[in-house]
Amino acid sequence: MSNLNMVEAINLALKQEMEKNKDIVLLGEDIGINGGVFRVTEGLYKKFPNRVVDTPISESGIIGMSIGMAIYGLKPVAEIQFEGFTYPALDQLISHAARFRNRTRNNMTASLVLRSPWGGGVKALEHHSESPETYFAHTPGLKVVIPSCPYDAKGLLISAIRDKNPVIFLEPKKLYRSIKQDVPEEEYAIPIGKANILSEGSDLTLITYGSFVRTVIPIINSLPYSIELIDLRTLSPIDYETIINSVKKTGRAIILHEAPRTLGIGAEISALIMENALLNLEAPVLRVTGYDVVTPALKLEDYYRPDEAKIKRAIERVMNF
Amino acid sequence: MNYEFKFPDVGEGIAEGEIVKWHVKEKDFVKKDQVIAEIETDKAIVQMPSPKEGVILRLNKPEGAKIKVGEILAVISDSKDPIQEQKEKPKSVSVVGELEENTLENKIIKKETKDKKSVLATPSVRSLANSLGINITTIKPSGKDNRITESDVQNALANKPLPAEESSEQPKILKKFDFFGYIERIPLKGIRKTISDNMIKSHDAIPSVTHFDEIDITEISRIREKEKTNAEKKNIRLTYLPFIVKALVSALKEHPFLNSSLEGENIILKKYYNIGIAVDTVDGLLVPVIKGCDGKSVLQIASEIEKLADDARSRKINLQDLKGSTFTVTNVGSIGGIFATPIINYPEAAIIALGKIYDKAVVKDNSITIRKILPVSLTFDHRILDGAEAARFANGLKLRLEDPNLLFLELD
Amino acid sequence: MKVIKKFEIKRIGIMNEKGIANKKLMPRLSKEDIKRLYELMIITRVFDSKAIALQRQGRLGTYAPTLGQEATIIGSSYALKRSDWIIPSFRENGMFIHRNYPIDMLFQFWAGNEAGMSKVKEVNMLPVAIPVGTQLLHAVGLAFASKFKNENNVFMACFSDGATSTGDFHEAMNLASVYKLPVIFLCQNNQYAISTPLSKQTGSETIAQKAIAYGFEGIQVDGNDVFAVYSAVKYAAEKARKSNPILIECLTYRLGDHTTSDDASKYRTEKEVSFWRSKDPIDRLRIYMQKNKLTAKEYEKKVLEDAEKIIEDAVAKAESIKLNPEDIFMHTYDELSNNLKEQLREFRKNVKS
Repeated sequence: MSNLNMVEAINLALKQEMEKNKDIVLLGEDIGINGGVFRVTEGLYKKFPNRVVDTPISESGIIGMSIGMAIYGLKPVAEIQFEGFTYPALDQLISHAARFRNRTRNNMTASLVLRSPWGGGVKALEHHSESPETYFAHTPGLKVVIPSCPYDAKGLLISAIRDKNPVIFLEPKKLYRSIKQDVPEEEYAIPIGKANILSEGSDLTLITYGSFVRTVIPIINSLPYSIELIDLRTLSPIDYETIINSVKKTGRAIILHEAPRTLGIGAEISALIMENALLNLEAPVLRVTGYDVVTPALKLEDYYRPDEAKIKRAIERVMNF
Repeated sequence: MNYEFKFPDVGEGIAEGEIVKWHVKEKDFVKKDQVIAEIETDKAIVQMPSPKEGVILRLNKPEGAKIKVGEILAVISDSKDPIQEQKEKPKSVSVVGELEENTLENKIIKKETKDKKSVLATPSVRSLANSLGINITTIKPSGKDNRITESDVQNALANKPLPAEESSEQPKILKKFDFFGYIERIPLKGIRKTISDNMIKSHDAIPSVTHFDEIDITEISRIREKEKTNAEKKNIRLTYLPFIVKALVSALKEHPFLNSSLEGENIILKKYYNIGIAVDTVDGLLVPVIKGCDGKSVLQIASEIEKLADDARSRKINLQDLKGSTFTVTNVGSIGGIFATPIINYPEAAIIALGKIYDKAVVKDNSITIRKILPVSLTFDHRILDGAEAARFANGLKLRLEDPNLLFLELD
Repeated sequence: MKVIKKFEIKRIGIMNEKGIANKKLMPRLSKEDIKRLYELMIITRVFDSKAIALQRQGRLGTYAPTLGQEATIIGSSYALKRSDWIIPSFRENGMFIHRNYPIDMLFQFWAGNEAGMSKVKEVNMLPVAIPVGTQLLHAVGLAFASKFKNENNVFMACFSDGATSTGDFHEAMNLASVYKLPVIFLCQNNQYAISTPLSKQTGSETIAQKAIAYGFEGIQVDGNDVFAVYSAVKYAAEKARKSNPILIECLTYRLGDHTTSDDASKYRTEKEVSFWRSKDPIDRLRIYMQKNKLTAKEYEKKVLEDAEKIIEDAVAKAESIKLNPEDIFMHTYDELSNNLKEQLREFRKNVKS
């Protein structure tokens, strides 16, 4: 057991999985000698010199190549340096990675992992604080996973690597170094497609993912309500069983995410709750989200991200409906 | 670490000051307690000593600027050489952005979970229960999948006892005096509060006018005298009220706008005639409703008025009997008074107050005679109808009471 | 000022339209090989005509003909080992046929049934790729993995002149050269991308020279000369096997329309088409074979009849296949996710009613 932050937990997962499975090859920009711009792959090039590959600036190339590598029997774990740069690779992801199994009726699959630092709240420039997860979650054939703590990061990454489908693994950079947890040395896998109830409650179900799972804790601690906090962990496929059971118990739900509101994960979950738990609802399902605007650069970013006041207002509105 | 020197509370309720003079400039090295500024408050000019040793990194406001208590005055660095501070490259900086280290709280404080009774009901049924003041968890479900239906809610309403505040309870006296002398404080609650709310609602919403008139009730008085004993045989106490109610219904049939309600942009003409009779009780005015007066005889109305009034006074009356009136009669004259400006029982269109019946010398057929006179005050909603119509209605009422044979002719 | 680099592009041609081959340049091919090349080109052409006919009868979906490109298609595939991989675009049906991919499955694919591509791994090919140029990166990935495993295989990535404008073409060429991958970039330069002629597709005089920019060799070949194509790809395979990527540009011509929904007469002249018809790859091979006593009238007749029989049988088989509509759910992931399980339940209810 060691007390690790998320960067270290991911590094540990990669190292251990690469030791176990000789077919795992990492590829991406600046991940080898430099150890990744966030140091996530630190030390891996030294340990596995021919299995950590520095690539040219070629996002479509990185993913396209990963597809070929996966089909030929390797397990590529590709890194795209920032979530805002996955866009050039969207064609390869959506037109091919997501479809090879279907296109060949199971004869071939593009079983790859795409890792990318994700989300805002780190005072970055444009393109470095995006929320593209819905594009991936909306693509049949892809799985989308976002851990919210070091322990989950290791367990989910191990599952992602072992999954036979293409998995997008988004790492909240706001959480990279801001929490430390005890992470077991031995291997463990957290199942993909299973949400996590961080704390049980009877008044209200708060569903969220990514960095907000952590930053919302002091906010709910300060309120007198008994709030059931759910970390989605997987955005595709969504664990709607856990969500529905919770809402049937509490009768109230709020979905919180930094991605823009329209057609975000909140909209999907809101529909699921309405379809499956209408008779238990005591208040409308509210979404607390970013605005439908381009994610602002650092100076105005705090106005975009749901802040404490906005979250509290939504909770009060639902509790006092 | 850089230290943010905030303008401290220098005492005596000072909230703000003005920076008169800076004694240092940025990049100066200061010792602890060295005076760095002079600030003028409305009491005096205060000298601000530096709380620590270090280099002035920033003077936050210029001379002459106002500064509030708690605002940053200056930023002082830790070390002698602030540039050195920056040399250490923060290791969590990526190529873009800044990452915080170990700043997030991880522990969730557990709150008391409540054992909630879970009920199944559509949002519209929940809303209905709420608006009727019924706790949905107490309703028996009869719908499919054990859900509470709209009729379940209506049933619960019918069985609901009157919301009774214990009015016999002595009100709590909270404060015995105000600035000028002793007082007694009585909280507004129960029926009094309901009446208060209703009066405000009616008063605010309805632009009303009161039409006064006097009705010669002598003929009715004679009939009443004559038939009193017959009625007693049937255990019915015959007063003027049932006659007046019957006459009212006839007049309302001719003047339907006084038996209506304004809802939004629509005048709803009621085709039924439920007359509310205001009853004075210990706790305040209650208005039992005689339903379907057009289909009831004078005797039936008399009997019902008596029963409902008794129920109201003894607080045994059903909630249903207090709802559904289309026109209200208030008989303050039974206590005293001639005319009044009654407030309409919202959301009806009109209300009539009956004054005390008195003997008056009047001119009738060119001679002076003594007649029994009933003063009436008819308040009406001027949005729905005008004075002329109100007058015509009043005339219609008057006509039937002054010539009761008309009531006989209109019998159906 | 020094000249630090010069380049030259060679064009290979061995057999001309008149069926006369330069003996010095002839590749090592036995009589059986040459006959086999002919037979394969004939089957390819018969498949092609049949597919167009089926489409016109509504029995096939949109189909992209390969008429006129048979020498490039067969010549290149013939030069590879069976353990080498072929990464096609959508105009390489002949390569599937050469590798004995069930022809009925090809018809299934073009009829719009994904099951038609469900045995590609067995023939070391990727499925037909429709988005132009994107498959080249997959070829690069396959090659990378193979080199990683210390194998000796070569990966032939097929594409047309149009693909050379895409970003993925550039990224694939770049990656292949950076990692020194065993990739043959085989360009079927059939002069048109739908209606866009080569002159509007690129400013480069040749496609072959694009390889120079990436630091590897580019060769132009007479794409209608099956011996030249065979020879060039044989050479390329040797180089690639030594971790040298290489680009072969086969100059050929798309005698048919872009697809069965296209009408090429809108943007090409009959004069141009006739010109290229005179360079027909099968004709010139036939003339060569006749000149070299490798063929006779009966033989040619038999080859055609055999080809037609094979194709007819394949069509019959393809059209007897029953489709399972539930397949639309089954291959999204390795296992059905919860939402798919629920949707399948819903689907089954609808299908019943």
